[in-house]
Amino acid sequence: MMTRILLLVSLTGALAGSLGAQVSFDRLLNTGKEPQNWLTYSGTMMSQRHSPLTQITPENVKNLELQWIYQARSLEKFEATALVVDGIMYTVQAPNDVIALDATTGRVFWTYQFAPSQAARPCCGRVNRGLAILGDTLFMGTIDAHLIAIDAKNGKPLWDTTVAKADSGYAITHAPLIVKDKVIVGTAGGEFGIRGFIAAFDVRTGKEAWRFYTIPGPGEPGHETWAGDSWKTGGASVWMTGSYDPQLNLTYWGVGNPGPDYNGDVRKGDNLYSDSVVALDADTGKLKWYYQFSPHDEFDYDSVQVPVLADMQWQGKDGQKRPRKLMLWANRNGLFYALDRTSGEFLKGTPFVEVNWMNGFDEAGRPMKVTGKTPTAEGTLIFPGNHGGTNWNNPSYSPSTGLFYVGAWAGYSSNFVKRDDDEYTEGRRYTGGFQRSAIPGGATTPAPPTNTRNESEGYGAIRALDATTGERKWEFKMNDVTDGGILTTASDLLFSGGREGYFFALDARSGALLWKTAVGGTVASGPMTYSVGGRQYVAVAAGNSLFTFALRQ
Amino acid sequence: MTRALLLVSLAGSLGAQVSFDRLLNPGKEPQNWLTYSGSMMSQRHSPLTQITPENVKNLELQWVYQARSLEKYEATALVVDGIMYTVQAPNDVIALDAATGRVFWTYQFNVALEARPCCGRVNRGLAILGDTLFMGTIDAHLIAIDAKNGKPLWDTTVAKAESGYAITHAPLVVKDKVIVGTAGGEFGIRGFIAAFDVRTGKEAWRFYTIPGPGEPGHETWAGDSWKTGGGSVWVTGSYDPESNLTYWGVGNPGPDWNGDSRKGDNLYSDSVVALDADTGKLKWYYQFSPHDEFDYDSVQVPVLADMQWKGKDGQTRPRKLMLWANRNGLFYALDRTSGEFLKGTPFVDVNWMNGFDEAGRPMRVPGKTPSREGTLISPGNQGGTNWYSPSYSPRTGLFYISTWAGYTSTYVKDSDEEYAEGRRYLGGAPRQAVPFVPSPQNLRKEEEGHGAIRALDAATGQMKWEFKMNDVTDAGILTTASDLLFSGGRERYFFALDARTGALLWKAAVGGAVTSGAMSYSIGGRQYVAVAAGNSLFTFALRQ
Repeated sequence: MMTRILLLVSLTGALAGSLGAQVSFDRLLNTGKEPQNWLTYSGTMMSQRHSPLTQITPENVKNLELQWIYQARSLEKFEATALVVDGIMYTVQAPNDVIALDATTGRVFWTYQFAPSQAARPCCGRVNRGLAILGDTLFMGTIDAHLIAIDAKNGKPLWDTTVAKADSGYAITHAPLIVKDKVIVGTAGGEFGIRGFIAAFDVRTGKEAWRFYTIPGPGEPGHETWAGDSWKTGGASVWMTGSYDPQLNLTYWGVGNPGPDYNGDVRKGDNLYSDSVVALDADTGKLKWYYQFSPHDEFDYDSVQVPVLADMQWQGKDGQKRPRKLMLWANRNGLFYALDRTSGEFLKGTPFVEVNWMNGFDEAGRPMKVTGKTPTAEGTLIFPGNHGGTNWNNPSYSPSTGLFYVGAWAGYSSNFVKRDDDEYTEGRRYTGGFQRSAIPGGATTPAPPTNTRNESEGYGAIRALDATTGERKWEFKMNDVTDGGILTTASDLLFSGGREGYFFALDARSGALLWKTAVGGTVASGPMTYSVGGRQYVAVAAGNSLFTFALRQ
Repeated sequence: MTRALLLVSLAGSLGAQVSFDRLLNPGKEPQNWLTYSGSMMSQRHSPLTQITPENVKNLELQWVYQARSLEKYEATALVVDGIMYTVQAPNDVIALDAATGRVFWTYQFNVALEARPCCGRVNRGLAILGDTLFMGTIDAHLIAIDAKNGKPLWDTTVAKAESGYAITHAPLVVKDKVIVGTAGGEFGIRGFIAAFDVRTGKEAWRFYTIPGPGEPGHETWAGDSWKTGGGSVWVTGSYDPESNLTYWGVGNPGPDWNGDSRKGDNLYSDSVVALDADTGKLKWYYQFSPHDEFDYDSVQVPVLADMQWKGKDGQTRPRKLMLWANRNGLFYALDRTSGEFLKGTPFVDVNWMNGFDEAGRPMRVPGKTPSREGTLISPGNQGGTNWYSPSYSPRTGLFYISTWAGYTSTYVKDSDEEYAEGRRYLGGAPRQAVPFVPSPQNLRKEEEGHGAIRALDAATGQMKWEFKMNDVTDAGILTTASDLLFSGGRERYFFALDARTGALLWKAAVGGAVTSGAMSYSIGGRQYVAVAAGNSLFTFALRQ
């Protein structure tokens, strides 16, 4: 093992030297060696959204000042996390324009404009969450379900592969994941009766290398968990970027809700692999293991959260602590999980917000549902509500504090209403019901410009959980709910924001508010950090603009 | 004096209401910004001095308002006692906490689909009187809005949007009237300025910028050309309470680039008109560009200044002046009581005229007219400056303008165009050396000209200093009593210069072109500077 690693390092050294600014796969695997860059959506293959940079500290963070702004020519939500490679930033202007900028000044080098097909019909905005890079090539999934390779030097498209049919409701909203010579994406569309899948494409040609359907077909294991023909329109979308463990050569992806969302009668069974995490062989796409968080879900509890990988000491059944390869997961269903990422073994599950749809786990880690807590014609009050205890907003894990940070909707519920008359029609919404806020005009819709949220509607919070126990260590409360992702740094800072229009820094150890700035728009993205010429920057998208900050000089 | 005292005591009893007396005396409350240009004299000069050339480097962002609009953000905000009012294009009014950016209310106005502005669905701002805000709309309505809650009070249709009329500028309040003019010079409108009762919205008077049959000046339009001659109004005027005159700049004659069908001087296009504020009657006018064929709108804000001026006898005496840097490339000083031409001198390259006659009429250069083949004219179609708010500082005695320097267009004439209601009526086209639309990357060449802030000695028109930009600029200018100048440009910087020397003291990268005039206000003893850039409004104050 050691020999191979050394070999890789020396090879990379030589390669990197000769290739200049090219981003080799080895660089993607060893992001800790170049903390000045942010090379993947979540910062590393382990997706901890944790930066080793330490110039900005709890002591000096109050001296952060605005460096530059990029104002997107788009009124769509700005959900992308930028990449930074050797002083150049790449980001996406919704729906699918790629922009290369000078990361120190915001000067635009080039713009690649992509006009998505009018047939595109996303459930929740024509959004995009970012890019992947390998060599000198950027990769973007589009809202009309294309995967596009773009020359990072000049913004010219290199290839354009149609991944799925936009008119049927398929879309790609997340940043692709690079593993070796393949670029991996999944398809959104869970509200349109799609059959979801994850697929890998050759980085040079765009040719499909493998495909994993998130709903097993006839003859495959798990197919029996879908009654009748319901597997054909069962949703199980994929709309957040996965993770990768190079030692195991496994890539991990969260899978969305089964469809129709709020009426499970037509899809009796567990509905595998909806609301699950799947571990796939990165070379073949073959399923190694899965864990289903919410079997037979009727609450739209997408499990698309970014799979956070962590290597930690874990107390075994014998009471002894040993290093263990874990996966940490705060799920939309309101529960925080620790899994063994080698085997998929369920190690721990515990609520991080109020939960009333289940009341414990069986031996195998399957949640025990509470009788009667299902959608009805009259409506049933469920905690957490439709938007979840959290959603896709990026969590962070800090090896420095041992805490897992999640943007939570606390004390939040919905009334789930079931409809029996919804039938599948290609390209149309297929949800089997709807949900109402527990409070009229309540928390699922973005708040009006003036925040009129009541206490009883719940509130947004950054919650810090002890990653080994799931116990809450601290909470930072907001007035409104939040869509902001979380970044932590090795100097024990936490950056996030919310619907109040602030971007802020907390002490990652205590949750104390150290700094905030009014950016005039909802933070609906995950912040990132980078460094150019020895100066650390923090960048975040809010409203329709990207803001960068650094310490005053 | 008795009347003034009475007004003051009234203001005291009315609390936060903005009396007309407050509008006349903004110098008594420098913490507020009560009119589009900051004062009735339109100098866009703030008496605030907390931010200085020494400490301006410590400015930091306080808050941002992101407009839900991709249209150019051209509005200058008002601030009244800690509350800011601004417009999100095309015509949504927003009230915010001026210290935090928190939105109190939003008034959403849906513009008629018939609206057909020449140059974007823009709006430049509001007027206030009492507790009422006034806004002109892109479909040519004038709307009164309750400043306390954003509810509309009345809505008057000023002109027909389908014919090409629009209102883009901030209204001007004089006494009990609110005054607006109509844009539409590229659509063959007949422009006018009108005053409306502030309480009812009922029209009180109307002044056509193109005289009708039987009126003086009608003879300056050949045939029926007066009916479709343009003469639009799209930037806010000024007011002199001593003479009770309101001054307005008037736009180009139409069709823009072919004067054959409108032989004559085409009064009052490209003129400044001085109107009695109570009746709308013309007191005097001065025409900057008679029989214009270069789209030289004279819609710049009329800047009023009381200065020492050297008379023909060589003696220097106080004089009531009007200072004007015109789109046609010339800087003017006029006597604002009589309209007398006192001075005219180029502030950029000018090749269409080469001097003035005794009466102050420009002497045209033969052959410098649009032609089939195209004729190269300096300044080009966007002008030596345009509608961008200038500033005059009584402290430095300098007049500051955003200029397009060394900039030309080739004017091509088309004699076949006929008028059709609601359609563009241009008579040709200029070929621009400088593309109009800001591009993400600046690819401007030296020979295309450059943007600059130029400081002119207001008494002589001589350039004292210049601050050069790479790209051209659409930004207005604010000066302060601490000798700071704030402006910006298409490079997406908002910056501060030393108003005495032009030295760059501070800049911030705001990610969008500055296409508005900055303003300044103060709350709780803290001075703020606010500017719209791109699609957002940014406020800055000194670090604490």
